[in-house]
Amino acid sequence: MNTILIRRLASSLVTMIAASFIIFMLVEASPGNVARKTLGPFASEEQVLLLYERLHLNDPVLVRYGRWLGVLVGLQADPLQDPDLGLGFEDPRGDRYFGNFGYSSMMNMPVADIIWERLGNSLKLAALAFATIVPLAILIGTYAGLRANKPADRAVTIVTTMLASIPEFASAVILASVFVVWLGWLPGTSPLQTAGGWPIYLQYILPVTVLALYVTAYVTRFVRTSVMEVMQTPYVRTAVLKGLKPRQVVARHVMRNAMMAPFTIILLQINWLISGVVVTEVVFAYPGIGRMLLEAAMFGDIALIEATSLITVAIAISTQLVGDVGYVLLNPRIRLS
Amino acid sequence: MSATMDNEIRAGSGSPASRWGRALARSPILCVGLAILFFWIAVAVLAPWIAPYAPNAQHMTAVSDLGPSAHHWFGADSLHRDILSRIIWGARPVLLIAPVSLICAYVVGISAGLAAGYKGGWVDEVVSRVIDVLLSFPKIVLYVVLIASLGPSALNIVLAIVLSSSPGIARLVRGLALDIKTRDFVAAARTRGETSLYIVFVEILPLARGPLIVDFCVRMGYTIIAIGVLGFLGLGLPPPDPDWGGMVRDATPILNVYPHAALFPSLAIVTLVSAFNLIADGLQELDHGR
Repeated sequence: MNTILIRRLASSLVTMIAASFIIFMLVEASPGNVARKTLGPFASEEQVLLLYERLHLNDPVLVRYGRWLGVLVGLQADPLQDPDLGLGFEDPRGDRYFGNFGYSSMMNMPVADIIWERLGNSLKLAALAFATIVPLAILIGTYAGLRANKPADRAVTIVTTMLASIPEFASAVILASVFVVWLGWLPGTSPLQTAGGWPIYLQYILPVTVLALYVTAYVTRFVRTSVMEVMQTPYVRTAVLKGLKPRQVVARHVMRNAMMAPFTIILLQINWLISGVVVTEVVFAYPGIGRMLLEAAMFGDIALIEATSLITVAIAISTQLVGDVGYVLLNPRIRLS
Repeated sequence: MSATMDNEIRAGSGSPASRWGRALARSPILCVGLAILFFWIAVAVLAPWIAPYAPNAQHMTAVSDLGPSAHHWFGADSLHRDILSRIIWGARPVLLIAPVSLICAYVVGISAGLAAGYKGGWVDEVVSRVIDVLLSFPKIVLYVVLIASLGPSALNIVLAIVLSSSPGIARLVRGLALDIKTRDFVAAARTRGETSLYIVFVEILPLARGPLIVDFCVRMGYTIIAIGVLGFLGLGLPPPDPDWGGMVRDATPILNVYPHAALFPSLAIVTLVSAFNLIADGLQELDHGR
């Protein structure tokens, strides 16, 4: 079993490196762009050319990627921070430390100064959504799965299908129309500041609801199918026939086995959750890493795009790793082999 | 898989038209889904004749209040353009870009998946690794980074969707090919001396079409959502031509006063997406032969 875990860990690491290469290629493939975007639209052509040379941007792309990775993990000094360049990029941490994402041209400060607080906000949002999604999906999914093809189950199927058809920005608009515009119960933006007169906890309600709606619908369908399948297995029939109360059958035999598949699904749904987080943050002006990614992309802030997308992908990959490892640990057939 | 085959044998009698008729009678969900889809296709095709105004025309005099009125049933947006007309015209880009990009994604995904599943060995190893890496990306990150560096345009939307959808398709096709290639008729074809290309496209692919059609409908739903999200984030089609996601984006600043401007295009997206989800559910239901 240890070999399985080690292999999974190694393959996650390889995936992460490959993903970082893809991000680097997408953002920095054209070297002229890098110099131009670092200096901004008002720099002269000569300045751009000078920077192009100083940064050795005509090196092959693999060499540039290696250098970039070196700066990121703290093995190499960030060439942009060289005082001779006169860019004024100053970082109190020095020019060589782990997690050196460079200097944000949009915010005019080191990326490391802004990114972690934003990430914390996003994680808070995702955690609240997760805490809503998991119990709801398990509850509704089990309820429907135990009544397979009865009216209650059909109703759940129809409602979840409909909810899964509503993209986050649309449900945000619909919910905001009702609760913000019409009823006036909740704030329409969630800047996490009390200046607007709304307490912080109320600012969380709409974003979390929007996030939870879509993913809950999706996960509920998996729980339902999984429960339905377990209900048809011989050991559940045996449990029923030997006279166990329905409650005991469900608690002892059905739930424990039916939760295997949804457990992985819920963790693998992290990609959906992340996409949802980006859209939700944009809608509600929530100060998280997803909105930062979009703003950086619009502005053309290379360092910030790379930092936000790398961190997001790293979260996705590590969650998937946890999902896989958890599945192995939960499944005695794999655990004991 | 075998369920699909049995079903085809069972439903095999009669002309294609009567087979469709029976399928529709058996699945009301499929009927509703197809009805909504045909409605939107008709709207898109007939846009020049049914739209009350030109999509980009501004009605400064006609509109004193942006809310819905007798002249502008769905109201007008912040630039005084008729929302109903923009929704009608906006059906065109979605119904064009979504299938085109998804078909491109299928061409890439099916080729890679068949190669990996049938050939195995190092081809499988390489394709599977690439799939793993691309699937590890949250799609939205791929969209934002790609379109931010290439610029928003219809072509780049197609590119983003191909890049994000084809790995999932390839993984599905690979799994199906691994299963089908163990069948006797594949061995028979190999004994006959057929080429690998013939075997994968003529012997294996047709048998995989049941699950692939359902998958296509599900992915159409996701793709329409993706196009909407791109428009909403400002990474979609460049203005001024109507694009449902972009319309919602333009309307959010005035949401407090005129929620209708965001509400109607949102509903348009929701109905089109649910059409494909219903079709997928209906087809799956028929497949299981309930």
